Amino acid sequence: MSRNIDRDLTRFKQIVRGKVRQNLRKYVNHGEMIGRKGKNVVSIPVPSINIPRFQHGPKGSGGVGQGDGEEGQPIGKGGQQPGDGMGPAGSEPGDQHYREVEVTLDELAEMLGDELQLPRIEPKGNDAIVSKKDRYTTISDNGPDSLRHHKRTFKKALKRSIASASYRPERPMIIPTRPDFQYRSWKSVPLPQSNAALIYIMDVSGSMMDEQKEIVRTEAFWIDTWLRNQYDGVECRYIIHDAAAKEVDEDTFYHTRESGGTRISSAYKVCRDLIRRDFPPSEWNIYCFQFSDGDNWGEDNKDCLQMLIEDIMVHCNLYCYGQVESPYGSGDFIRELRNLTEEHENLVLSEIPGKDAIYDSIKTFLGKGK
Amino acid sequence: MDLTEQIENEIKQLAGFSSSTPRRVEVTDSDHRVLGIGFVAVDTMSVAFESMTLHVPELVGHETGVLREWADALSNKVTYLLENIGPIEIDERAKEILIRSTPPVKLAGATQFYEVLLGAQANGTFLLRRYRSETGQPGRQSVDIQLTHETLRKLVGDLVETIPDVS
Repeated sequence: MSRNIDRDLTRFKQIVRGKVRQNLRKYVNHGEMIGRKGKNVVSIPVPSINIPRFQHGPKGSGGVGQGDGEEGQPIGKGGQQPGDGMGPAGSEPGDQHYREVEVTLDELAEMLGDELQLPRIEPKGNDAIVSKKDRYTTISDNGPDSLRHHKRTFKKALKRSIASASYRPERPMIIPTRPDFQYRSWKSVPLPQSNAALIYIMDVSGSMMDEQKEIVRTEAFWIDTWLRNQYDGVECRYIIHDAAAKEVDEDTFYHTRESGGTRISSAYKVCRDLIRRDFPPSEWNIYCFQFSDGDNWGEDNKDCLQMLIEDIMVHCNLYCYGQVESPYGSGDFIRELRNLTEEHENLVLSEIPGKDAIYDSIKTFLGKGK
Repeated sequence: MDLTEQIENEIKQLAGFSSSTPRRVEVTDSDHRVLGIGFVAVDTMSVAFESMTLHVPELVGHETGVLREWADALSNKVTYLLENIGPIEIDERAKEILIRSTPPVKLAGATQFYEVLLGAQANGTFLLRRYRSETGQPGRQSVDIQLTHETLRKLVGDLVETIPDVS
């Protein structure tokens, strides 16, 4: 039976979801929630949700059903009453009040999918990787008291009682003994999993400023949220590069600033080796997301394109390249990649001039359903 | 004659020149330093050029530390252009330093900045250009640099003066 509070809670959640959905573009573009991310939930500041609540009146002012009033008489004094306030209410709206609400990452991913009309992802190949999960589907004679199955224990005691002719229908009393005890038990079942490897590559050269990195961080958060919702097991790897590249942890990825030049091919080498070493393409759905201002140095573009085509893109479900605009504008690298898009349909390009373009960029990247 | 005097003479000879195709002028001093400027217009007061190069033989093959010294000295000395300049990227492997306007100038729908490339490789040690980048469009176009004769003389002088002593 559902309780009133459950209905109220469901309705509250609907209101919150509605508010989040309404402002999703803002949240996506400005990354307001990223700093509030927990393990599985995100706290979101949602404006203008008024929560009704009871307030106690002054002591001795009577209670419910007490006092001089007649039945049906309105509570309180009717009409406008003079008060002790500082004057009439202002005509301008006050400061917006925000309330932090928690939304699970799965819910957030669903909202993102609905809002951007993202197609469900079709994993490539077979669900090759198998993991074992415990399911409590069997019964055992041994086990801890916390797992005792009372109904089965009672039935077994009843059977024993009838079989031993000690059962008296006119005075039915069953006392289970140790051999009657039945316990819930588990069975390990193999479950096929679709696994995804997400490889993020970021240019951290001197021309990539904090604002550009913030854009990358925000976009990566949403991509991560969506892909984790689509796959059972997601492995994330991070590569940063200037003139040289290296694999780093998530924190370093987002907070490193180098001053070196830009050689994108160095990152491609690390990415290629990473795929060869850790993610056999037959078993993994591989997604690469590269972000740079596109200001590649020297004659590096030729090496980049060769490596990208021959060693990386052939193994990827999607190769996404986002070119963010630095204070010096947007570089040439995206032009080189545009020449490849006709032959390689898993290559997706997006130009991100500023924060407001993040929303559309995510749609571009994930809109293919691969 | 030093590079400043030589380039001054060249400018005098080019007075009245204007063309969409740059005319490259090269002068060499006693230390075999070669200054090259691709002029697109020269009048009695000012010049417009698309690039300026300076080849400094004594810096070829040196480590980026020497270039860094030059980059810092140059950034501190050259403060009279449209924007200040400063080192942005240092490529140890290629022995190159990228210097740009800090910050670049924001125009309506575009950004313009100076870019200086210092390199210790055999094919060049100093290259100055100015670029324009349209907002929301990838790539950038080279734009002409316009300086008065005096400013150009000062720039060439400062350029030579800040070359690190590696002897």
